[in-house]
Amino acid sequence: MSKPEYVEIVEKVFDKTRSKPTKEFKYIGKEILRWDAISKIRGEKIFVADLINLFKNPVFVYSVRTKYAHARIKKIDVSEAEKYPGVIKVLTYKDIPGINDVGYVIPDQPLLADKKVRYIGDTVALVIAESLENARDAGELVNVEYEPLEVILDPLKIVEWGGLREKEHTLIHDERGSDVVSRYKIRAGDIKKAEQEAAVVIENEYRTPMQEHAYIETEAAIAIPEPNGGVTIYAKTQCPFDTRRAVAQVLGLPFNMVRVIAPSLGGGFGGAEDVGNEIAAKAALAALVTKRPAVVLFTREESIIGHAKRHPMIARYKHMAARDGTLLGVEAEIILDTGAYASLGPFVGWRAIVHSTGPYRVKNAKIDLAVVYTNKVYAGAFRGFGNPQVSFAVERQMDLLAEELGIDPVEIRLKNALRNGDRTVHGQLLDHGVGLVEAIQKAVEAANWYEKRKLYANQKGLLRRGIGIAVMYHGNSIGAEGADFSSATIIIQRDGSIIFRTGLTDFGQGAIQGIVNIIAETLGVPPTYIKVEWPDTAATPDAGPTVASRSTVMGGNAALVAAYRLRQRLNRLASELLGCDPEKIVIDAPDVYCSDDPENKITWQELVEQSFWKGVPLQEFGYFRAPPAEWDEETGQGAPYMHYTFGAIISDVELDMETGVVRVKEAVTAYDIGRLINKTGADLHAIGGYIQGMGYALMEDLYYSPDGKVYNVSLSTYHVPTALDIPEKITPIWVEAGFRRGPYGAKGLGEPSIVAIAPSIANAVAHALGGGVQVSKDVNKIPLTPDYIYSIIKKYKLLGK
Amino acid sequence: MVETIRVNLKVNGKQYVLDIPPDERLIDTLRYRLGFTSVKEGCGRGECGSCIVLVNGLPRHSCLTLTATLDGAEILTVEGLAPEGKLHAIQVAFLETRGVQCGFCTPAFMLLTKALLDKTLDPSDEEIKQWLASAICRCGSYHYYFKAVRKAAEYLKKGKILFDEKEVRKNLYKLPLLR
Amino acid sequence: MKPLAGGTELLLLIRDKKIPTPKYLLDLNAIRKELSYVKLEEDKVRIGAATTLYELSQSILHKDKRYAGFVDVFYGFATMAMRFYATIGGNILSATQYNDYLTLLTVYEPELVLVSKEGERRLTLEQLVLDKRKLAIKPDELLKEIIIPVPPENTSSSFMKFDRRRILIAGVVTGAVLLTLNDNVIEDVKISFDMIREKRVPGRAKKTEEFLRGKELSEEVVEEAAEKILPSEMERVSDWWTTAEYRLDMSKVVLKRNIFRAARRIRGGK
Repeated sequence: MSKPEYVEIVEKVFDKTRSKPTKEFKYIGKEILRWDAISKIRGEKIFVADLINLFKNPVFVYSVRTKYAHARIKKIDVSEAEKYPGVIKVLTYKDIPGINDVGYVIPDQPLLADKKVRYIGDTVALVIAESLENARDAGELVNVEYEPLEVILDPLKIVEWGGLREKEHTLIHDERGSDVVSRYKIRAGDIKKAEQEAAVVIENEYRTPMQEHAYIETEAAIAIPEPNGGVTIYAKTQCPFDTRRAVAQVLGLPFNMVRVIAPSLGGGFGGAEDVGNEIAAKAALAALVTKRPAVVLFTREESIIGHAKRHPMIARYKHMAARDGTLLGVEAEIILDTGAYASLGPFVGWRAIVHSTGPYRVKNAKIDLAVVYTNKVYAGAFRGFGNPQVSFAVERQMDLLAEELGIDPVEIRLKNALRNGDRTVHGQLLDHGVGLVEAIQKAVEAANWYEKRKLYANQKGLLRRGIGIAVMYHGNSIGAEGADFSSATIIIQRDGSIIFRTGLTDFGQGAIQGIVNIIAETLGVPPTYIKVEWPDTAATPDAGPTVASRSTVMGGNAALVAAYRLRQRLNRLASELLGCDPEKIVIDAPDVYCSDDPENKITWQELVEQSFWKGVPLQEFGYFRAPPAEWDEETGQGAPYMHYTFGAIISDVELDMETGVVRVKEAVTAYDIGRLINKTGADLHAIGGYIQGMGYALMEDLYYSPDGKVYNVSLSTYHVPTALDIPEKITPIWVEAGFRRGPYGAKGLGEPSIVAIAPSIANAVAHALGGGVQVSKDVNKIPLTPDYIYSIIKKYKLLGK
Repeated sequence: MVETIRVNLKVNGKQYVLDIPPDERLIDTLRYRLGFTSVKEGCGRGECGSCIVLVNGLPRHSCLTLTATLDGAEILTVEGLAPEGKLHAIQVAFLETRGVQCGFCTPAFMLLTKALLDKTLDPSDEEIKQWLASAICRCGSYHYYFKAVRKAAEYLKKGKILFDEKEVRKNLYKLPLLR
Repeated sequence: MKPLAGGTELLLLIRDKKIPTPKYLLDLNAIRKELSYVKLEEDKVRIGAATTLYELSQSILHKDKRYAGFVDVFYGFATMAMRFYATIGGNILSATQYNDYLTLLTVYEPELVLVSKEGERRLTLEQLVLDKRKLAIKPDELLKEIIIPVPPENTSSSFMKFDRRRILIAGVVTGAVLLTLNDNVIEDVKISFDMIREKRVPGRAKKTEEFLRGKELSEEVVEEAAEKILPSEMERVSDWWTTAEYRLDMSKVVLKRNIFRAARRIRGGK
């Protein structure tokens, strides 16, 4: 099979620039301010709720939620609510014209509950009223008769250790006949033999929390009825094309009658993936019923109980190693709790199992993973997508192995780390672009690892320091989760300015700036010439979802292909105008000249104007499809992702031995992102990802009452780090090992930036505790709350009392 | 029938006479009645800090404030930091230190900076942290915002308060602009 | 009808439907200026009930070591922005474990002046705050003033609160100590915590105080007070946030740290 032209373009650009140092590029790798920064510091109207004033006479939609976390619905009576002043209509599942489902991967999630409610955020009715207050008050009058069922919050009530078989229990999804959403496995080598040969075997159980995204902008959608029977929706969504599909399905409309526009998002982190579909569908329903603009606006409480979370994990790991620290095998059983609905759970489970042995040479592995339902808030996408959970377990295991063997944690990682030419646990050959060892070495040097590790040993005081390392890898883009493609449009305007359209959204991560830098570098024009349009399903090409750290690689490749083709055409025209070989054309807008005759210039505007008269098209569409991923369901063998981002994190913590309070003092992050495309954004990510990961490590979890209600539905009870909680210094370091199928060699960073933070902190805390393997084994769950760490100190009398 | 209360408010230098329902929150007056949407609602409980505005020069959660209690008050939002075509030194500092990510919390952080620097141009590190801990930035730009406060203080010490927006753009990008 | 001062607590209670929506809110702005002051008189400090926390921070209370606990409370209270309009009177009348000024004032044994059209009456904190959100204040009364007796020269206080993060927290436990030293002898000590037992409002650890009073200050004595006496009068509760065991153990830690910090402050340290 011949290579598609777009792959050839990407590879050609990589080959040509492979040895060029990043500092020699004009725009790539530079600290360029993001395209939307000025509108943001002016406080302009760029978020969904800011647009409400632009629409006259809107209606407001309030979601009436269930009172029970698990119950059968006997009857819904909305007659009282409909009589309430200001109420226009109250909708239930019966009013849905299309299919009552917003399940992301499998159709298990009704938009409006019909037969059952399965968690405390399920919507039973929608009140449409003249004001949000009217709607909320009327919501209390919606009368639902329930038959309460047993509430299951513990995934170990669904499956059991030793094979993860499903137990007898009250079914949450009786319509599916099972509460196991999906199962995955890896079978590599001979695990029995590995165990026999092992000098040490470390077994331990790990738990990770249900993390909440806590983006500061809560969910918002505005739907406007269109004259043709269609609807336009402004929604907080990361994936406008997925949102369109969901809305079209609920309304029973063809895709082209539903237009979804995604303005700037006030944070997303994965959380604005499927709730975007839900709020857009609710607003659209109300707009079509009332023929008026309809607004959905969540309070913080609604946001916390109403959108997908990070899957909590319970896992049992067994690591086997030789005396010299060489990993011989990994055996594990992993349970991911997806809450009431699958959401992206099946994909999260798959990404978790792919990464379940860490970035190491593992020849023998036996891993089983099950994603199960409970009556918690549903879990879905959250930055890292299953990888932070398994990485916590794997990286704690590596430290326990090191401790047991008396080897430095850095040494055991260097001994087993993946290098160029190695195969992953799935048998995938990594023939280039593996910068893990370099990342470890650079982080170790910057953090002063060996010195501090020695300095912090055998402390006696009340305040003790500890230093820990964790490493990670993270598959780029969506791999075997689906058709992995992206597209982009670049249109050069007649005055030389440029319009760039992509279906990829910005929820703060700033990856779009990376793409702008790629276009600028390729065309030879400053990024300031380029305007980024809001993603709009009616105007921008489908670029696939804005997930999986895929924007820079996939979106960047599509834009690179478009820009490259435009550049070829412009080079040819310029060569006619300037009289030299097209290869010699230099575009350094506003100047265009031949490399051997820089004095003889034309301007960029002139070149564009001539294109207009000479019939050279100035719009281009770029497309890129990732090589199809391979995955054998029975063995977990194949090539799950096209390539991997690598990283090493070192955290330096201070532990108050009397209270158990942990504070991170300093941290170093080193990531191999192939090529540094967007320095400003990359630094922000390394630091911001660290802070969010630190929250995951130290303070964040959702707590439930036995009947399935969430206790902490506010930002004073759901703790996230504030300006007073962050380390003095977080030092980002970049490794650029390249990737042949990435734009200029780039790889993704969005999710990797959180993956190994928690284990690096946990390892540092275990170091500070300093009680040997037994104590260290107890550091096996996050968040590392003060009471939990204190309980370890008390149990082992580590304070000497 | 809901009665209203007459309130005289000066917002961003302009005088308004408003008849307000007694239970209307300042955030709703600013966002929906007057259109100052830089003021953001993130929690409605005074926790996230995104709704912070300056009332008579001091930070205040507009979600926990009833407009009817503010008769005669002066209010500043980010829209009022600089006139059309200009940028305030604080805005310039926030741009130059490059910490803006999703941007939802940024207006509150800039107003906190304004109130702090109105009190002192030499705040201690701990003071900066205490003040900026009034709002939550989930993207994690805090370190950048600390730097922005220092940078803004430098400008203000030199008496540089307003900057020409076009000049700022030019200097920021150090790149040619099309126009 | 409910009087509205800073609004940081009342508007939330209404929003969360934790109290019935009042028909009227009485905006105290008109008298706010009159009721906002910190006045040092010969033997007492008078604090106007509508004094904002920020105004407190500009007063003698943040300068004289005898009131050092006020500085501690201030920097752990909600967030900086809220300290500009939250009032000390509002904090007291919110009457929960989490109202830190209540925990601190408990050790200062203040008098609270209530006014109505019938005139004034004075109550102690224990008389005013009966239990969580239960107050001995009549519907037509307003809290006007808090009067703190000026402590002796050789006195200081300390307040502590901590949690998973540094700010915007309820506190695993909170506690305050007001200590008077004569050389190294504990001439007087008052100890409060966010709760002692049963009542879900700040209270005094009086047995522990009694045990310490008159004794030479030493590691051993404080250790004994914390480990033996305090647990005998304290009963903590478990909830979804943490356990009674941890809260009790941390109460001991907070007690020890508060006493030694207050002692350091008396001697001119921090």
